[in-house]
Order: sequence, then structure tokens, then C-alpha cells
Amino acid sequence: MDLELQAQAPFTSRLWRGARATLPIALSVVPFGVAYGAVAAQNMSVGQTLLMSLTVFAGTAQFIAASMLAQGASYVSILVTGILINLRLVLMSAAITPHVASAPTLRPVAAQLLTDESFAVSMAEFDQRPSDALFFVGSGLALYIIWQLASLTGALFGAGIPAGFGLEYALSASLICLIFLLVRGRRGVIVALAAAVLSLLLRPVVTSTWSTMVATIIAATLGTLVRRCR
Amino acid sequence: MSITLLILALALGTYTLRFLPLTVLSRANLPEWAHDWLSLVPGAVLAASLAQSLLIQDERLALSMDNAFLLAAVPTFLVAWRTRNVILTMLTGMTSYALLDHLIL
Repeated sequence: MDLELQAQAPFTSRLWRGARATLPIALSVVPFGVAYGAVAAQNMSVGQTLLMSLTVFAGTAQFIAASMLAQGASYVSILVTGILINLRLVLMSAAITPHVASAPTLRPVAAQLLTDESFAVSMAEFDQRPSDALFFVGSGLALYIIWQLASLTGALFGAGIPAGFGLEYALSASLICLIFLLVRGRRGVIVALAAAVLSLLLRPVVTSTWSTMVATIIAATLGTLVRRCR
Repeated sequence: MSITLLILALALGTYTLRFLPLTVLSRANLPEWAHDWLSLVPGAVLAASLAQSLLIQDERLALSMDNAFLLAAVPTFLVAWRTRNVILTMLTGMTSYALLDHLIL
């Protein structure tokens, strides 16, 4: 009912507005999806690779999971590290809540479609125009469909790439891209460097599969403390 | 635990993180330091994971000039920094690695 009160434009055109606004950024996600599919399919079946895209639908965590599987990490450490990366979704979910509150029935769907990209596009939109849960869902759906197609392409096509074409490097190159996109500010750079060095130093101390997670917690905590002590 | 179970567990955990604030936590405000801490986490995980993928070969630290993973990171970083172009960066990384691994080292 609340939908009808709010709706001026028809259902599909509001969904489409969100999808259209997200298309440019969704296209920039395609190479990551293809690379994820190619990397993940080296240690999982095509079905499992796609299952992760369908159910987890969080690029960075999927990449880290694929990378840790390739490095032979334990499943528990992969799970904990993946959850740790996705903790930031709590913040975005809390921030988007007032904008989708008018459509309670859409909330379970909106939750699954929450990503950095849709969050950024929708918050920019709601800054300028009235909140619309359907805009957010349309944005999320566009990204969801493109992510599935890209992952599937990577999983199918990656297996066909013969050795010697540098596929072993797809993961490292993707991580480098993501670092440039996600690390912000001098403090962010220092925290990232500290985490990298710590993860290497900790390997003999902590079980090697946990070193990434322990190093991240220490580096992020130090970064937060440094700012609070200033 | 099979890989399928791992995927489903990660999916369930991730969905909980996405859905909880939309329901029970909707009015809870996280303190400023928690925002700050969470904003630093993704970059730190990525950097730690990259360090592992470049510098750990066969379970040992490989800080030498014949580590093709490490050497290929140099052009890859330069292209990422200069162009901010995902496709170009990936191609540079994969090509550099293939050349270093098969032709030079």
C-alpha cells in the first residue's frame, strides 16, 4: 500500500531508472566478474563458482575466498575473513534503511542486492531526489544480473585458457586494481601497507592461513587508534 | 566441510550483515570509531592478501629477483596508478607475468 502512495511513475519505470543510473558502474564491474569466475573455477566447479556469485554477491569477499582457496587456506579462516570484509555492509545497510523504509515487503530483496556500487549510486540519487526503494532495487538488479553473466563467462572461458597466458596472475592483478579503487587517503595507504607487512611477519607465528585476518585486525585497529590519539 | 557448504555459510553470514540493520538495528547508531575501523578493513584485507599472493611461493617467503609474481607487480602497479583502468591493468599483469615466467626467468 505504501508503494501506491509513493508511486507517481509506474513500477517498472522506477526500477528502470535505478538500473539505468547503475549501468556505467555495472559495466566497470564486468572485468572483475570475469576474472573472479576464471580464478574461482580453478578450485571450484562452474556450478559452485556461480553459486557463490548468486548467493554471496559481494565481489571483494568472493575474490578473497577464491584467492585463499588457491593458497590452500582452511575453510574456517576463509569464512571468517569473508565475513570480516563484508562487515562494512552493516554500515551501508544502516545508512540505506531510511530510504527503503517505505516499502517493508521489498526489504529482504533490497538486503540481498546491497553492494558498494548500488549504495553509492542510490545515495547520490537520494541526495538530489526523493527516496525510492524501487530505484535501489533496480540498481541492485542491474548489478546482480551483470555480475552473474560476468562470473559465468569467466568460469566457462577461464577453463579454456591454456597455461602460458598469465591466468595465474589474474587474481594478483585484480587485487591491485581493487586496492587502487578502495584504499583512500594517506592513513588508508599506511594501514594497508602495515597489514601487508604484518601478514608476512605473522606467518611463522600465527597459523599461515589466519595471518591475513589477524594482520587486518591489528592494522585497522592501529589506524583507528592513531586517529583517536591525535 | 565441503566447498558448497563454505559458500552457503558465507552467503548466510553476508545476508545477515545486509539484513540485520534493515530490521532490528535500524535505529542503532554505530560510534564514530567503529565507522572508521570498518572503513579501513577492506583495504587492509586486500593488501595483506596481495602480499601473500605475490611473496609467498610454495609456503615460503620469496623475496628474490626470480619471483615472477613479484616482478610482474611493478608494471601492473604502474598501469593501475597511471590509468585507473581495470581491463588495461589486468592485461598488463597477465602479459607481464606470462612473459617473465615463460620467456625470461
